[in-house]
Amino acid sequence: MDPKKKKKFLILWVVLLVLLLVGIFLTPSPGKSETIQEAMKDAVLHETNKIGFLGMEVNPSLVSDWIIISVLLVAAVLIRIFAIPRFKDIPGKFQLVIETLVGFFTDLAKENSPHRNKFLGGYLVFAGVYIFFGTMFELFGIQWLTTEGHSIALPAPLTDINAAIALGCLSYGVIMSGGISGNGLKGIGLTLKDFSLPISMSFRLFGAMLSGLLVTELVYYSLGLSFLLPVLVGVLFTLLHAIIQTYVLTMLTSVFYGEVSERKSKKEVSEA
Amino acid sequence: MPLNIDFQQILLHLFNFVILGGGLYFLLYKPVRVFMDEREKRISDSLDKAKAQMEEAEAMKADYQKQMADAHALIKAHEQEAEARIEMERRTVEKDAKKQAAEYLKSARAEAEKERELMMEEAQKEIRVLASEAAEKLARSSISNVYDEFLDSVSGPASMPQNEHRQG
Repeated sequence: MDPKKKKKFLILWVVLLVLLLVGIFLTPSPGKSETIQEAMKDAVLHETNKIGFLGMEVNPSLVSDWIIISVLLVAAVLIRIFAIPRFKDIPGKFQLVIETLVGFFTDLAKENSPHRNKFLGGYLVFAGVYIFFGTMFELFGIQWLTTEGHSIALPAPLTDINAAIALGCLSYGVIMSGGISGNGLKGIGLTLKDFSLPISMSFRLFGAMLSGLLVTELVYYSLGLSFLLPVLVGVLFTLLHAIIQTYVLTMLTSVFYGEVSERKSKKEVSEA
Repeated sequence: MPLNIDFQQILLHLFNFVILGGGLYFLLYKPVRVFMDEREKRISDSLDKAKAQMEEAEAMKADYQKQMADAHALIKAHEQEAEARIEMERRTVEKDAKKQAAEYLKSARAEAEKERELMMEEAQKEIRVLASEAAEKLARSSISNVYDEFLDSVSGPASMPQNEHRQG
């Protein structure tokens, strides 16, 4: 770029920023609709902000769930129809991404459950994709109207304890199915001895997701922290959270699945 | 319920998860796995085929090398046989040549001897002729001398002028 033009552009950019800052501080705030305590409590419990659905009042995380599931299913259909039939032995960029995604979870399943892993691989793909995209969904900040007429940003589904419990219980169910297919009725016993597993998985997921949400809420709540910091906090925390939680839950599920689905002798079962 | 746990919402989430899980399993995971497994099998088959072909080629190579070794041995045996035959023929030819040469030498010698004898004979003949001629000449000269001496002795010195005249 011409140095003169560059200088002009920089001056305009700085002036625009200054004007915007002045505008931000001079514009009167409409006042906070809720205190930080209320915002935090609602982020944890989802007691006040409900959304109407078929005559029921549901948490906003369910709407997030539907949006994510719809988008993922549409994407899966498009990939199935347009991409997979065109897959080649030497993959292109997109094929490589899909194969890496499926290959990563398949390998995780094979590594932790070498004797029985086909169904587990499929489940891990679902859980991994859901947790990752569910967490990243928070970044879009899609607005929705509550039953009280407020506008709220749709949260990540797993910041709702009900979603976390549902995923924890589903994972436990999958682990139990592995125990039954591997060891029959004895597999149920093997799985039930880890009865705390669904609770620990659910609450670990919920706690991890919620902590990220609360930190972000705190940052967004204060005007002073609204400059530049949310870019780092919002994007990096969310991205790290998404990756870490995806890995933790899929890894735990595959490890427990492998443990209970491994064919055991009568002696080992009685010892267990 | 503590923490606002709601079983209806849990069931709704589970319902969503089952839909998404089934959808992703049948639309994404299974077809991609099938494709990847088939490709793996294809590559594995190709590798097995290549390995089998390699083994076949190795066997062919070993067979070929054995044939080559056999051929070399055969060639060497033929060479040795040929060399022996050539040596034998060479010796025969040499022997014949020597024999022939000896015969030639013998006949040449005989011829030379014959020729020498002939030459000697001729030479003797010539010598004889020459000798007779010489003897004749000698005899003739000695006769004339004797005759002259006789004439001198007979005629004495008076006849000298005659002699001188004759000599002159």
